[in-house]
Amino acid sequence: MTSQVLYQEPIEEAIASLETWIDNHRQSNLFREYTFSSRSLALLLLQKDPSLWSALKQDEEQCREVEIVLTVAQNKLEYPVNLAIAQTRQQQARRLESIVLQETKRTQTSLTETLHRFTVNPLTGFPLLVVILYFGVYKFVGEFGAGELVDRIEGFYEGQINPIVNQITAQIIPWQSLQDLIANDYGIITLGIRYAVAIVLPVVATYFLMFSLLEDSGYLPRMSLMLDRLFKSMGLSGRAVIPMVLGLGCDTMATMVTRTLETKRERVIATFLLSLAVPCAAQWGVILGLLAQKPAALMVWGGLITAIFLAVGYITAKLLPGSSGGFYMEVPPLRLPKLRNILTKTWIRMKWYFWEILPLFIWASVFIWIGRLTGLFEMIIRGIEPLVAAIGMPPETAPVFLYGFFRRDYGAAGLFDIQQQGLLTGNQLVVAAIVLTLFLPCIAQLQMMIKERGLKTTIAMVLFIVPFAFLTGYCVNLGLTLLGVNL
Amino acid sequence: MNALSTVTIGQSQTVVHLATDQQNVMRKLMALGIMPGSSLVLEQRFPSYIIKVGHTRTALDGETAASIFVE
Repeated sequence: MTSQVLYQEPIEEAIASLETWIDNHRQSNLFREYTFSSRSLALLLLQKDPSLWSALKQDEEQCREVEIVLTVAQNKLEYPVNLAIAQTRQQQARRLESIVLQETKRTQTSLTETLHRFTVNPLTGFPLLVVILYFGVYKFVGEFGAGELVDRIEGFYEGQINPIVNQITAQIIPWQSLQDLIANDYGIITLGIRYAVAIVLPVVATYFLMFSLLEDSGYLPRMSLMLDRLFKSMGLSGRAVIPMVLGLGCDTMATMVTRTLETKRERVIATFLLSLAVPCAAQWGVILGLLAQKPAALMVWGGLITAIFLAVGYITAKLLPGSSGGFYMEVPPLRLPKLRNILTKTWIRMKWYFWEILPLFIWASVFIWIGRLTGLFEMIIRGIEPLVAAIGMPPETAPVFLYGFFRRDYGAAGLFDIQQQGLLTGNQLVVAAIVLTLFLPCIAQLQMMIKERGLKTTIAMVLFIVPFAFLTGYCVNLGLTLLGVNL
Repeated sequence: MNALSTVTIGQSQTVVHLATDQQNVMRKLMALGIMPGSSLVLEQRFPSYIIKVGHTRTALDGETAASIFVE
């Protein structure tokens, strides 16, 4: 049954005259790439299709001819033309539905309906959100993925692969400095590829698994609608929930996902917040381990980072011109996810992401190699030392900040070693954890920021982030000392 | 003509007017089946508006919902 949709009289008249007009202009550049019927083209013109109209506007004469037809039709109609077209289509769809669909009256609300209410009712929905984030992100991605899996894979890599690579490189390449590019502590294979395989891959795999599960169950739109109000205060909308939660897995991936946000303003705010105040799983995993014995210190760290996230978001939203994009989202029914689909999806995403990120880590190795070879790193560390002293840290921690830039959790792991030697007090640990969390995004994220937001915006963000991180550290240290608190 | 912020939750309403000058919002609402003549049921207002049109459920923020007027 293929019945053509019949529109109201004035619209049909306009379509007819536009069809003739289009047939006369078929040879022009305007319609060359469009292969579908004149009627469809006429309808697109009437609905002010943006791409067709931008092409049309190149010729004023043509543009005026179409506009006349549109105005004539509009004057005879009660509603705007595109609305009238949509209404007719809607009615047609309803008519079709009523013919083919037979609805039996349900006596009681179905299980999915009850579940839906449970997820969106503020009284039950917010606790559920916390539970899902706790088990899905914290337990599964953080503790299992970034903790357990990373330890095992990295242990295997360092124990089995690195020694062989080091040995072979030492035999083939006679120059120590060139050996360091491939192997040893910071080589492309021993560090760059190891990071991508042993750190990023497990985090991303567990994350995508959890994410696909939430996606296929239909929970994500519900999460967005629950958090829209909170995100609005930071100039973002409910849509930004997805990149922000992704950031708790891997900030580089999250920065890439900010593409999906509607306005440029939202994309800038989201990128900025991700690089400043959203620690990735690898990073917060180590920081939690570092502060685990001191619940008060952990509270100070968590509370302060959350407060900075909200406050900086709020201020940025106030300062950046423009308004937050409107939030509208279809809420699909809740469904039981199919395991096969989830696994396939996770696998495809992992593959795609791995190839996207691998070059970034190889570059990181090359940068470290150049930095060490030329003595540039030594200089930067000397430069950081007074800053480190100003926030009350021993000079041994200076390299931690530089290397933290090449891998977010490396900085925290370096701190872990220093703590093991008993060199740090509770206060110093908190200050260091805060500065490291706020400090520069890792080098892969920085490259992604440049790619997505452009060099100028990225430089502006970095110029804010670095002083802000140290200043916050300075203030926290000062505050704790003045209050006489020993964490 | 009533704003969505004043109508009773759970009752069927007929849309009479969309008051927005943003083309993209208008287009999106129409794509979701929200346009003059269609009937909708408001399900909740907090933390976001949830409305049902036919078998489609949609979440809207207060600002977008404020552009929908019903009989």
